[in-house]
Amino acid sequence: MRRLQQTLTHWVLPALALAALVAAAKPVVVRAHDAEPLAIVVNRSNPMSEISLADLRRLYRGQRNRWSNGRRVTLVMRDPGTPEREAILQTLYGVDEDEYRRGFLQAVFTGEANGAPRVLATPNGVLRFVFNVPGAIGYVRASEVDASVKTLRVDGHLPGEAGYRLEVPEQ
Amino acid sequence: MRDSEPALGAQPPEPPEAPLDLLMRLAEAPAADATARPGHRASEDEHADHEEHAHDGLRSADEKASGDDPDAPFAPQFKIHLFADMKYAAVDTLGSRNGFSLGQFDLFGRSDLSDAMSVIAEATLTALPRNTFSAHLERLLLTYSPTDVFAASVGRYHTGIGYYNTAYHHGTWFQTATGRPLMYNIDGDIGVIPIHTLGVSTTGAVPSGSLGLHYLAEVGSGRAGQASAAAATQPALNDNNTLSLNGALWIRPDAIDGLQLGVSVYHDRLTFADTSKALDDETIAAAHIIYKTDVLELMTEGMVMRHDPRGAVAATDSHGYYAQASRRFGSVRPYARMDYLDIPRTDPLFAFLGRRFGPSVGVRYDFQPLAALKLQTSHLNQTTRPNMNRFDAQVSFMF
Repeated sequence: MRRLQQTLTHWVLPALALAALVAAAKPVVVRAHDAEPLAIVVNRSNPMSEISLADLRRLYRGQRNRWSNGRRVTLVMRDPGTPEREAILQTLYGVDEDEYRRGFLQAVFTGEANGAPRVLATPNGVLRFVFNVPGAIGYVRASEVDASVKTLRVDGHLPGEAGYRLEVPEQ
Repeated sequence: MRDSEPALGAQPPEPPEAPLDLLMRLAEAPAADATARPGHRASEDEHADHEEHAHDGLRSADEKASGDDPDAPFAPQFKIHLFADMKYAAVDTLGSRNGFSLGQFDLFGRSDLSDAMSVIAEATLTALPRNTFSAHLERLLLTYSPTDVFAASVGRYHTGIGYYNTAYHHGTWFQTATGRPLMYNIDGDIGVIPIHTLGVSTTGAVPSGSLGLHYLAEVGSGRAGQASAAAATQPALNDNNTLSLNGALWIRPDAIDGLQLGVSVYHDRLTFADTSKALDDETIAAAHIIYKTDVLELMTEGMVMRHDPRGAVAATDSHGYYAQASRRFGSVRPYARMDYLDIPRTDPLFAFLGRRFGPSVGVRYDFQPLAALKLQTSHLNQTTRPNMNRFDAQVSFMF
């Protein structure tokens, strides 16, 4: 009995605690079965047609501030609490809302980021903004994209194609 | 690869509006409404639909200022953020007093002057033990950043030595712990490393694919040797004609999101008020490994600071490092840090510090998105003073 207790306290419990810590440290990836692709949209005058997920992360984290044509990047985000924004926070930032806010404030504070993203309430607002601002980049559900903007391939895939990694749960 | 689709503005314009209609619409429309399509007359529902919200409370420049709206008149906007902290500290050393104290009041502002030029300014008011305040212009930087690979700043800035000194400035709200590591500690304007420099700083991303290589090169006035043993950066007059040089490289590899590895080397020549002392070459080499994710924060840095008097006296090597780990559980983040700083007794600047090291453990509770309570207990072994235990309760916030 005493040996069992020793084994429990010396090995099993610490191992469980460590396993729980490691498991909890992994980012939670929600892969909803009923998910819709999230399209990354830019102004039609933007020379880019595709982008890697890594570069998209750099853009959205404020680590890259210029397009290849030298134009300044203007980030567009949806309102806090929207599924689209949460999908972007999870996929591109790997953080929740509070950590995202703190991270961006710090990036502005250190001078790394030029400024915080524009926050728009609706997909129409995003499309209009991207249409009007040549350096803008935003995201909407693939079904909401219209001809006023250009959809970027991400890692060589368009929304809906196999291997496309940006998804948002169905409404 | 250039896109061949029609460019913006290629649509045929609608017939011109009647002057009265146009005036009414302009009066109702928000300024710089980039969400409205040219020539498109939005309905009331659509206006509500694309209502623009605040930029997470931290928008620093709108598209007019940044030049994204080429037709808009230029109008710089200075965005201000304030940081502050207050704390209760209990220290067990003889003669010390326990009590509440104001920390630092930090005024930070940023403005875009054009698409590629911006200004950062940061001033602090710090409460001193003598119940007075000291005021410092911590940063004043004019930055020109035409591309991602090159940005040049001129002014007063945090020296790019290691990681912590540029990642965390004076707003304690950003920092996990109540204060900076020993090797980066600032007492007023005094630090073991030259915390600030006045000069020119250039930085940028080196095209390196998935490696994420960045560089930094700085030339400045360096620290003043004449004013005091560990004096501040020189805001107006240099001690000598030798400028400080600093170079740094760091990588953020795509393979491990949140990882940053870097090195930096700093060099300056110090001139002492005591003319019997020889000129002193100061070299500081630092390296860091940082891993930060949503929940985990693992940081470790080390530095060697060599003071090499030009003469018969032997050079001294001081060492410092810290290791900090924290993990977030919702709004609560427990953390631990080990600090170490060892200054030889023959060091011309910091011999009075001696060797000091010890652990700190604490917990940070973000009770509001922009406000945090930190409880921290620390033990410090010191060779030049009695060992010390202390407890700090700090509230830090931004607004």
